[in-house]
Parts: sequence; C-alpha cells; structure tokens
Amino acid sequence: MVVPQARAILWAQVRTLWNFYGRGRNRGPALFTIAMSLLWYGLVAFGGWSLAVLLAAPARLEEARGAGSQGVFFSFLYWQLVPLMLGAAGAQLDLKRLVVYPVTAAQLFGLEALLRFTTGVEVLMLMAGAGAGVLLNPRLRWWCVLAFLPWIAFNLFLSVGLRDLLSRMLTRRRTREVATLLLVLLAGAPQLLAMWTPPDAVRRWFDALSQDSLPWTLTARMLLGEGSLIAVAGLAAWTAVAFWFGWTQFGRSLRFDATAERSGAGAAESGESWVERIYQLPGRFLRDPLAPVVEKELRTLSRSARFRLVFIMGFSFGLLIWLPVTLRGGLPEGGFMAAHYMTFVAFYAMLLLGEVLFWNVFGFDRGASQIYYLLPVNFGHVLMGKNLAALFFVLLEVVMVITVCGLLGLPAGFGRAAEALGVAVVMSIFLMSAGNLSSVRYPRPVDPAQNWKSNSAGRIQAAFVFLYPVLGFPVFLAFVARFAFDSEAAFWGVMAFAALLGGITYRIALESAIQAAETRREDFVTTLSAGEGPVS
Amino acid sequence: MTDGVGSAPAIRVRNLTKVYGAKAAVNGLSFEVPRGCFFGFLGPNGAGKTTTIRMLMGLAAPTSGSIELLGLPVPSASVEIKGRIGLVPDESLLFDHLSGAEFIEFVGRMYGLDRGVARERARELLALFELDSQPRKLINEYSKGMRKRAAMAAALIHRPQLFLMDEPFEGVDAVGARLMKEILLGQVQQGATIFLTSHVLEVVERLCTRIAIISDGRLVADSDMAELREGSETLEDVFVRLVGVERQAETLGWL
Repeated sequence: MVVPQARAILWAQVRTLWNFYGRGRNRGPALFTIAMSLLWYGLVAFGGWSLAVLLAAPARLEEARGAGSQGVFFSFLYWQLVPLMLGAAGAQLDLKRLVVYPVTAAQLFGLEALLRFTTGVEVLMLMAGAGAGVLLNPRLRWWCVLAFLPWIAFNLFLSVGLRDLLSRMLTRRRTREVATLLLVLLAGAPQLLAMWTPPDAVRRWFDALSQDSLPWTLTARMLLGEGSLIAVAGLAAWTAVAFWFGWTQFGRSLRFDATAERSGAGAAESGESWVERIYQLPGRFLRDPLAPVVEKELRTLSRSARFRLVFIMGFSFGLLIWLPVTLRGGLPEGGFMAAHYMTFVAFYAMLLLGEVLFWNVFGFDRGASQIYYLLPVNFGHVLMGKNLAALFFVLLEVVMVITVCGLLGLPAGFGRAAEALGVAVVMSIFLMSAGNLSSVRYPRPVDPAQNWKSNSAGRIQAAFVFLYPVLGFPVFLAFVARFAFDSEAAFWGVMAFAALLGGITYRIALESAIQAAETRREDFVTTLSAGEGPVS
Repeated sequence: MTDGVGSAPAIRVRNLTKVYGAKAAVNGLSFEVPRGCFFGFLGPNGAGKTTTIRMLMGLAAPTSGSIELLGLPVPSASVEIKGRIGLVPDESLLFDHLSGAEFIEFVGRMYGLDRGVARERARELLALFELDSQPRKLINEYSKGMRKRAAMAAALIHRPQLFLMDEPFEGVDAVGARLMKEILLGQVQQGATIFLTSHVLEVVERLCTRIAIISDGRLVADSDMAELREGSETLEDVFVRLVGVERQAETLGWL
C-alpha cells in the first residue's frame, strides 16, 4: 500500500529532478545520461529479447532447465554484488532529513525496499524477457511467471540489508579496515583455492549452486514448470529470512549515529603522525599555491566516507573480480587476461574512482567551491592541484594492487608492474583532460559522508563500455603495437607518444576549462551550493 | 490521550547525556519546559545546544537519560510526537531543488495533511511570510533569511503544539524577524510551546519567559527571565557571567 507520506516523498523527488534537469542549466548532463542509458539499456533489452526467444521455444525447454538455476543465480549476483562492486548502489532515502517527520519505520522500510529496484533495472529487464518467453511457451503454464514475485521481494529485502550493513561497517573506522580485509580474504578464498584445486572440484562447487534448497534453484524450478508446494514454501522461507535481515539492518541504520562514529575516528586520526606526514608531502616538492591545494585534496578525500569506499573497493574487489577471469584461462601465467591482470585491476580502479577524481572534482567541495573565485589564485592551479592529488591516489591504488598481487603469489614482475603504472598514468592524463572540462561545465554537489553513489550501476557500466575505451584508445594502440611488432620497445614507444599526446590534450583542455570556469562562474557556484531531494 | 499526558510539561528531560568519542557533548542535562512557555535555550558555541535540540528532534539518540515531549516518551512514541511538533531545524533539512511552495506542501503532506489542504496552506503561508513574489524560485536561490522564513512557514503548516527551533532568526532581516516574532507570540498566546536556541540575546530577552543556559554540556541556569536578570543586569551580562570569565581581546603582534 502506498501511504500518503510515501506519495509525498515520491512527488517531492520528481519535482526535485524536474527542477534540477528541466530548467535548462543542467540539460547537458541530462542528455549525456539519457544517451548513455539508451546505449546500455538497449544492449540489456537485446539480452532480454534473446532470453524470451530461448524460453519461448518448446524444444529448448530441457536445455533451459539445465541452466536455469545458474542463470537465476547470476541474476542474483548481478543484483546484489555488482552495485556494491561499482560503489553505485542506486537511490536511497535521505533518512537524516525524513526521520523528523511522523512516518513509521515500516513505511520508510517499504519505500527504501522499493528504491532497491534502481539497482536491479537490468535484472528486471532480463526477467521481463524471461517472463515473456515463459508465457509464450505452450509447454509452460502462465502462472509459472509468478515465481518471479517472491524472487524480486527476496532480492529487494536482501539488497536493503546488505547496503545498510555495509554502509554502517564502512563508517566505523577501525571496523571498516578489518571488515574490508576479511571481506577480501573471504571472497578471495574460493578463487585462490580454485587456483590449486583440480577442475573436478571446481565443477563440484559449481554444481552445488544447483542444490534444491537454494533460492535461485527453487525460483528456476518454479519458473520452468518443475515447481511443487515444497518449492513454494522454500522460496517463501528464503524471502522471510531476507525480510528479517533487511528489516533488522534498516532499523539499525535508522538508529545509527554517524556523527558519533566519525567523532571517534577523528580523535584516533589526530594521533597518527604518519598520515599527517603523507598529507604534508606535496609541500616538500611543490610550490604554493599548488601545494596547499594538493594537500587539501589529500586530506578531504581521505576523510570522505564515499571516497574511502571506492578506493577500498578499487583494489579489493578489483583483485577479486578479475581473478576468476584470469584463472579461467588456466594457470596465471597463461592467457591475455592473466598476463595483464594488474593492468585490468588498475583500469577497474580508475573506473570506480572516476567520478570523484576526474569527472566531478568540485563535487565534494560543494558550496565551498566559491572560495576558488575569491582567493587570488589562478583557477588552473586549482584544477592542476586536484589533478595531482587524483594522480597520487590512482598510483597509490595501483601500488597497493601490485603489493597484494606479490603477497598472494600472483605474477607481479617488474615489467607487469611497470605496465600497470604506465597505463594508469597515461589513462589518467586523458581522464583528467576530459574530467576538468566536465567538472566545470557539469558540476554536481556530492555528499562526501554518503557511502554509495546514488546513480545505478548501469550508467557506470555504460561508461565502462563506451566512454573509457574512447579515452583509452591511445593506450590500446600501445598494446596493438606490442602485439604487431612483438616488442616491448614498440609498446613503450607508443605509450610515450600517447603520454605526449595526452599532455597536449591536457594543456588545451585545461585552458578551455579555465575559460569555462570564468564564463560559467554563477551557474557553477549555484549548482554546487544546492542540496538534494528526499531521495539521494 | 490521558490526563497525565495532557497536563505534563511540554518538554521533560532527565539526565540527558550524549557522548561523542571520549567527549560528553551533553552531560547529565535535566530541565522542564511548561506548556505555553516561550523557552530560550542558550549557550556559547560548542556548549551542546545543537546536540540537545537534535536529540529532542529525534535526529540523534541519547547515550543515556530520557526525553518526554508533550507527555510522551521519546523514542517509543516518536511517530505520535513528531506529528504534534513543528521544527525549524538548521538549513540542512531543506530540499534545495524544490520551490518554497513545493517544500511547504511537501512538509504538510508528510504531516498527513490532504494534498489539497497542504497546497492551499502552503500558498497562504508563502504569502504570510512574504515569499510569494517569485513562486517558482527554488530554495537554493533563496537568501539565508528567506530560507529561515520558508523553514518556519513549513513548521506551522500542521498547527503543532510544540515548536523546536534552532537559530530561527539567524540571517533574517529586521522586517522578517518582526514578522516571525509576531507569529510566534501569536502561537504562544494560542497555547503552543516554543523551545528555541539563539545567539541573538536581545531577541531572546524580548520574547522568552523562561531561560536555560548550557555550558560545556551542563546546565548552568534554568529559571524565569525576571529571576535570572537580577536588578539592572541585561541577559547578555548574565550570560557572560554564567558561561565564563569575560575575555579581553588579545592583541597579536602581527595584527
């Protein structure tokens, strides 16, 4: 039931979006978002159509039944894991603003659960295709598609719980580091075991995913006409457990006092002089006003919950998601993926860090950005300072990846490490060139205390599929040169040329960004000074 | 509603404590605000005023102690309480991409008003607070004083019995402040209770009938205005006397 308060929240959010995007000033980013979304969701829609065709064919039903459980399992992984891996867990209620109104926790939970649809749009599109296929298949009853209802509820509740649990864990400073480490070890364990385990054992693990008691198996069985009352009861039980988990975690988040957590962290941080020494490092090599800008960026970024999340995800999840891809080719020494494992992880890390470090560098400053117009500082120095801090964090991320690879016994020789660092630097130059322009032309205020990005993972994946390859084309050419001439010198030669080209591009883009910052001064400050709606 | 609830003080706080890390921002605070009272809650910067009002508003949970608003315990009866109080919080609770009318209507609907009623009252409140000359203007385009007026207009929309206000006059011009004061006094005359924090001691002196002063998380004064101001002392004199020694402006060599 949609209660009046829920309707009011949705209405206010629609008005907020309309006022933000519909008044001309922000049409550029809106059009970009629409274009990227069309491209990405077009691909997903094609996938949904393919699924419909497959499931509608009576002759292929047995084939579908054979792979149904794994298929539904991967939809589960996509819905639950990908938003976390990309640090983009969709829209959520801005509880700290809504908690003052007379709305019950149950109503807020219901609305929050509905907002979890924003992280599963792709899955829903694929499910729509699968549902259409089931309805068109003469060997299946129409009510088989109802299996999706508890499956959707299960995912929505679980998604609320996971997100709230992780958000709180990542706000607690000491717990955060330990939790992340445990998460990495836990998630990495099966893959590392798989490295030294015979393929038969891996196959047995994979088969275990199809056990009758698991929710994806139950859903697949019901969907493909093999359901029973026991399966219905089993899925209902799983949904009840997910509800309990989501409701408990949501309740804890409602009572959670982030200020108290952060105040403890601040007290602990003040005693860590080694961190302070890192902050002051730029002052030893750079001159003012560049040094204080870099120093300020290092301090503010490392203290932002959101940045810390994507930074930690960058190397931890980065290592994990590319590891299976690498291992699929056999031993770590074999295959293209395995050979360039660290480079892929570095690339993924840059994707995650992109919004904060490249595309919207004034986002965290919000209204305080106007200080750059008030101080006697060239705007170019501000951008260069932010870019240097970005480069520092990117290189730190890659160094951490190299270190972890070394510790895990993965191939991390000098050549591969140098390649990862080189690719990171050259890619960063191109990303900074485009990012400086987008940062001044399409700025957007971002709450640094908020852990997750509000947009869905799909848009980030669209950027991954379409935007990053364009900017990374010169780097791609270096790999082509290495392949064509079978020469490291060719690779580094093209990389050097790409760096030179990037430098020229950066210089031109920087001048253009400085001009745009001057001409768009008023819009820039106004946009960055604004807050968000009830859903952030 | 029981008689006990109906005759209970508007606010009753007992041994309220809030600890952040190793520091107690609020330390064993106890006070009562009678119904129909215009109550001023004062203190120097960092004394714990905002933390206290955040706990009263339900934005932060106390480390220990109890709060009752309108005779109902917080947080167990928080939904019922929230429906009967009006908030003028700090600016962070405004939605910047809504116009003033949209924001006030939104708040009205969150308090359970019918959409038509909320819209009509929002229009009237906008006019009352002289914010209706540019109805499409967004809150992020408002001046600081206009934002405060919008927040106060929103606080009135459901005719609350208790107002919790954090610096309501901050940044408001003299005309706007006069208007807001008249409206608030009118609400008190109709039986509402007002709890406000402010650094504008002249305004507090003129409006409030009862004062509490907090310093370093502890209550250092809680009495009627007349009792507090002995003889010819102004509220400012009392405030400075109670919260610390008078500091002389030191001169820096380079300044």
